[in-house]
Amino acid sequence: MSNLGDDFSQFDISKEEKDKLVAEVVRYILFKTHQNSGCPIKREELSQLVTKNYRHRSLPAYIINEAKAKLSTIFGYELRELQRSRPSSTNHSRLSQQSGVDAKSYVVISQLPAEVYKKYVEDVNTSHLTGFTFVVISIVQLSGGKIAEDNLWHHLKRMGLHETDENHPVLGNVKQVLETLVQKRYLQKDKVSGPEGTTLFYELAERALDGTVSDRVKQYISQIVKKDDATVDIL
Amino acid sequence: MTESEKTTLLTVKHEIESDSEANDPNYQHVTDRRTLRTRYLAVKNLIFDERDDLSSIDSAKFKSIVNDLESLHQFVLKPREQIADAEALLDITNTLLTSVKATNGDGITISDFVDSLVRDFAKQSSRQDGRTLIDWKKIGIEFSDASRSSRGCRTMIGPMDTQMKQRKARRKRARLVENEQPAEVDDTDIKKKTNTDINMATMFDILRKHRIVRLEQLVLNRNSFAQTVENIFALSFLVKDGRADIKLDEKGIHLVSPKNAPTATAIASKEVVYNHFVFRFDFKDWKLMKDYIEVGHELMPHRD
Repeated sequence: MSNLGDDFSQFDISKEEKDKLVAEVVRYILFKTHQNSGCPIKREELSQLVTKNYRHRSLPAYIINEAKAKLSTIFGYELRELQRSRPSSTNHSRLSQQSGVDAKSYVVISQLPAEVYKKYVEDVNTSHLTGFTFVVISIVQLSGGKIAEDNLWHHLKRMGLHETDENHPVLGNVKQVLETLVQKRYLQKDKVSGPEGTTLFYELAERALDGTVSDRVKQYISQIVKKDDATVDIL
Repeated sequence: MTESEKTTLLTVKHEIESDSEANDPNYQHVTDRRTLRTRYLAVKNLIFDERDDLSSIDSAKFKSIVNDLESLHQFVLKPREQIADAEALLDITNTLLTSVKATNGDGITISDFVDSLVRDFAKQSSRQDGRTLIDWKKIGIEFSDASRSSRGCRTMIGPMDTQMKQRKARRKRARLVENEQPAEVDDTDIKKKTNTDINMATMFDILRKHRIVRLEQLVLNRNSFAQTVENIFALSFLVKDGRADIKLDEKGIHLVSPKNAPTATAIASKEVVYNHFVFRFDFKDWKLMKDYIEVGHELMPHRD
């Protein structure tokens, strides 16, 4: 990375132009994150900001790296890169020829330590959505990373959530909330044609497959389940 | 045709077929192949139906399915059956893979997990329809540090979706006055002398009259820096042509005197050559020069 820092003269742009581009990218990332409520930002969109006015081919990559550094040092945000994951059924198709590079996307994650974040940053007004996200990801993870739609709803029903419920007191339209999870790339939908016709499967997508997230999920699952076991033992 | 004759014919036909079968060891009857594919399909359905049971260690179903696949595999000769065979193998592998992924080493099932959630996070008040209420907020707060998503910024200068303003098409304004054109310059006189030439002639006349003059006296124009520079320019042409001579006396004063230009033969025979030197002259130098020369001693006339 330090090599890139010294070599920006190869791009034939002035330092001021470079700074301006980096600023634009950082601004775009921050505001788009809010506008999207946390859906990942496509790398193409960021590249477009650069290639709109400048032709050099490796300039977008350099600018995005600089933006990453700025976000980290100024805001304490990590610009995490996610590789778009495809549903497992398409991976297994005989004629699968992955067209080019899978799209990369970015999410912004706070770099604060966990306790500090929990205490000061977490927005309690959206915690119920976070909770729902966690529960659904856990269920999908526990069923091997993939679960049929009816199976998922069967489990959610035990927690008072119904597919047709549009007026849940906390979550509102539950089906819609599930849909936002797909949009935010925690889950992805996959239609699998089995012997009985097509079934809709929910699979973990790149945000939930990201190392940190999936490890924490596993950790919490065992924590929650073991806690009950422990209390049972004591009793 | 009698029955026995028909039977004989059929037998002969069958024998002919079996002869050709015997001749071609790879021949497989079409119906046999169809049967084989049907049996493969049956196995695949079985795999799908029994997918929940296949993962346990002593699963009898798993053993029987694998045995079936093995026995069917013996009969596979043609590509269509090979595909069916491969697909069946793929299905059973996938099923096993999914179930292996599901066991996270602790053997926690979803039901266990959901039970624990309900026990820990169910809210105290129960609704009339008897549904369990989970405290989602509490779960969210517990889990917040895993996702740690940032919210981005909301305040900003200018909205994100500003479009470029389209330029309005302007009406062409009608001209209020008639078009005017400047008079064209009449360029008939080709042999017109340039100003430099006139200055050179003037300077040479002065040199002829005064024979030897000081350089500063010759070029200075007290009232105009620009005209001083023009005078130096004219002098440089005279020197280039060999018609003026700049000498340096013992006191370090530059003296200019006129002379004849060198002959063509002299130039050709390289007796006379060009020499260059840089005459640096700026505004400050001009001011110094003004102090150097007494008022009224400038030689070149002022040009308006």
